[in-house]
Amino acid sequence: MDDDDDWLISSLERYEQLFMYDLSTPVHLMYLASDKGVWVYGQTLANKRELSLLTLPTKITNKEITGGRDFKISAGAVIPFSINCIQEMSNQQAVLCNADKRSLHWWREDERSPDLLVEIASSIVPPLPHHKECETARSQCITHIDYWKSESNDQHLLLGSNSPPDDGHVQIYDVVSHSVSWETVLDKTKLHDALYFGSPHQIVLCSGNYGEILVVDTREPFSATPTRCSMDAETHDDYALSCTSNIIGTLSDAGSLRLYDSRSYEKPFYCCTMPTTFHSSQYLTLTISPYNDRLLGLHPGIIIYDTTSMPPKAIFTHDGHEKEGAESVKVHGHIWHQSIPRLLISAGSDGGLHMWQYNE
Amino acid sequence: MSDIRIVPLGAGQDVGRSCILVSMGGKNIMFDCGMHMGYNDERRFPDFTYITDTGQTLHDYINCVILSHFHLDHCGALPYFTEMCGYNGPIYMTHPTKAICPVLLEDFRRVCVDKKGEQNFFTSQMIKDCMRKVITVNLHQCVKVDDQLEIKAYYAGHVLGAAMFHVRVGHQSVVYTGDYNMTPDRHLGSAWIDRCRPDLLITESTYATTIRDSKRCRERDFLKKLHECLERDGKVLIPVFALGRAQELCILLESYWERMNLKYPIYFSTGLTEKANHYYKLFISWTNQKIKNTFIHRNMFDFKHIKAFDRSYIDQPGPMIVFATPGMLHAGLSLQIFKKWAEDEKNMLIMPGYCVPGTIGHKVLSGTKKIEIDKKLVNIRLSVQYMSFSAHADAKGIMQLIQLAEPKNVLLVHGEAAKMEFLRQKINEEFGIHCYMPANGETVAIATTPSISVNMSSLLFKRALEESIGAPPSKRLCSLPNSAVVDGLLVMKNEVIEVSLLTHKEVSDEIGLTRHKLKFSQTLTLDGHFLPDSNILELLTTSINKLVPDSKVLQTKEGYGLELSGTSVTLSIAQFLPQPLVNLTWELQDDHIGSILVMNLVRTIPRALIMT
Repeated sequence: MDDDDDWLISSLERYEQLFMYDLSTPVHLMYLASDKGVWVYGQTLANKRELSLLTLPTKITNKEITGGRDFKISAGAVIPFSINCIQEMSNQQAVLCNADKRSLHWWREDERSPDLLVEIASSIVPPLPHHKECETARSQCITHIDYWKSESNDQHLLLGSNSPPDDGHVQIYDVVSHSVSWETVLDKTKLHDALYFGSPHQIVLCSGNYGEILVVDTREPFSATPTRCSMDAETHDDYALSCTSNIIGTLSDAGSLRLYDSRSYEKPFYCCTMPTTFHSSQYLTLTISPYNDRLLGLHPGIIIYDTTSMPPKAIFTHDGHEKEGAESVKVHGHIWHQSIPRLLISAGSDGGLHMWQYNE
Repeated sequence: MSDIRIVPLGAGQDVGRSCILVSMGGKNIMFDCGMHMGYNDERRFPDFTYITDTGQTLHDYINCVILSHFHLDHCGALPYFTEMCGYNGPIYMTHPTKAICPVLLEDFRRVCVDKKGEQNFFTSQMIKDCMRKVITVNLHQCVKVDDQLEIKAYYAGHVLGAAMFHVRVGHQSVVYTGDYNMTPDRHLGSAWIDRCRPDLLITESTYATTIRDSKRCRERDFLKKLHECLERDGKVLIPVFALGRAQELCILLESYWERMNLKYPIYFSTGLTEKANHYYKLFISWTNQKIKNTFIHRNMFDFKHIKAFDRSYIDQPGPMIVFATPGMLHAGLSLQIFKKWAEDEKNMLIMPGYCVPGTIGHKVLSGTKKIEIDKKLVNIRLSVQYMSFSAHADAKGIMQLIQLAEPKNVLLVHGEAAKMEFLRQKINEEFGIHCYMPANGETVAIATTPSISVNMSSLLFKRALEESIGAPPSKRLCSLPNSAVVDGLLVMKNEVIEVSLLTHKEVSDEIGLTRHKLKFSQTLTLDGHFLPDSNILELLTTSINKLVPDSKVLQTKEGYGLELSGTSVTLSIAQFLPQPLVNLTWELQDDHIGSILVMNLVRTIPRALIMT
């Protein structure tokens, strides 16, 4: 066997399942729509942009004997603008945040040609009042998005952005009326991320040089010093935020990891400096496993950590992207499968898309 | 403009019975003549009534048949076409395809006639008679079918001997890919074609809407499952065809056994093992570079860990792996072994390829738990795995091939009916070309623009290059930009179809004509009076620089005139003060500059220097 096969041999013990795909464009964004599909946005250096909705291999989803190992391209399109983030809504419809102006675009499968995605609506999102003259400026583009659909079918988008020089801006956008129903400004404070937190009225924000956690009830007046917050001991440039119903986690680009109990987050219950640093803050990501919230996925590098011990124990490193493309490959993201334990999907700047289930 | 017309007689928006009819330049070419493995009636063959309905015989209508490779869905109907429908013209294929086709055809014939009792099927003699009509081609060899029609084969990967074909008639050309893959595997290389820029690329689209898992991960899955079964003392049966993926899997296992120092026995059916080995040795040049390099020292198809199987081993205890033919469990040794091993849940069946509906292989893959074999009910308790190792291009591979060949149009065959719009959009976006996907019997007409090759004289090329890039040509700067303007004469010689672009001098020298010059002159009176110390030449230079900005104005050696460098335009002062007269002369090729100066020179002389 070749030396190339060394990694393959070692993977037999390390991975329960391993799938590796080669997309035609480097993957910039990925969104796991459901247990059966994933949205992928790719962009080349020549600014060719593709959005695809891929169906997961049937080997994973239905366990049939003839289940295939391949992703099927359920639908796709060449899109005319760059995007910052994707969020799937219902009915295989996704909303895209334009990277060149402050707008949202809804795309879904074309009724006449079901394998094509088409834009069905778009909307300009109002900026901060005193930035109105810059409403198309790239600097005001929406960079964070989350989605909530209530039982009564009310649909809202949580939008986050930063206006120059560094004012964080958070809005709740009503999808039906296409209007902003709530917004706030973090004065001279950079917004790192914003997520829905357990209900349509509760959001968690991570902002500022100290990675301040703010839990906000949008039904109440928002004040600069909210009732509950927590922050890091030192300042860092960037933070990643993740949360489940039980845990809120932040990770700084200098490797500072903090975990908070969602019920009382004045103080983290877990605090440490990770053994690795994250110089490439562009791809700084923290994810929490959907079935064991003490398992974290850290990125770049995609290392799975077990935080039941102090310091956290690296229980698995996925080095498949580095193996394929050596140092030049940047890993753009990873997501956990929602129902299959230890199964993740990751993507890289060389167009590599991996699906892997590590062995316990 | 003339059209290229394409009609799929099979594999149009479908997989099976590949048969593409292309008409161009008055010639009709049939690509592939396959059989659809999913039907037992006339639907298994391509629909030849499209040809017979023209009133012509097959032999008169078709100028040649080209076969891409030995899979039955590409060659299975050939004996029927020649011996039962009466085609008697030339048939082209590669050497390995010619050697292996009759083996698969005979095997298939035996199953249909002997096992299924079909009648009116082609006979063994018909297969032999058919193959006698075949003309073999080498890779990259230009083969002239007749004065106008020529074909060239390119390496396609996929299976041993598979080729893509470039066909040219006059100024029109088409590339037909057959089945191909753009990633190499353990015993074959990947497809390649040069930048032949055909009017049309007809490409398979089996996995056009798929993003395929890497070969290494599929191999990994195969090895993992195998190893797990053997470790729990199970036996593994892998039904295969004699030639094709079997060799790929054998090389994989050989390497893995050697690397891991495993001792579990691996067996391969006798008889066809030797035949397969013989073919791979004979056609070693068709394998990949690694196999060819290793072949100097040892034959990689002489396996150390894989032995010939004996039927007595079926009942031997202990773990083992057996590769047995045929591939769909429809008869023979593989079925015999399956009957013995099916009821033990420790055992495993791995199906590495497609199974035709109606075969036992197909039923097992559908999840059937009880099957009647030879009037005996067999319970299927062993683990059944399907692992596709077929080598086809996926969406990315198709785009790569288009990038290589640079066709003006693309036509998709051998794929799904629906779900091609995204691929069409991508091809159009990326390459700016049209993409077609006709169904069986649907005609696509593609307009082509004649292209004429012109030989350009090196002197003219060098001059044009210097003028367009402003520098002498070098190794780095040696292609004319699209915006370059070339001033020359197009010469077409009567004896041969050859067009040349030459300089005026080269043409006049070649045909022995004296060149004449057409020269114009005009005397201009500069109105108004000039100061005694006015420098007329300077005033004229200033004016000329405004009127002809790119010009380089020089004083003549005599000092009383000006010339525009690189042109034939000259100005001489016939009279200086008080009323300057200027003689302007130019030749025909610089008439545009002369005209500008005649019309504008006088009025643009700087007025401030004219004495009023």
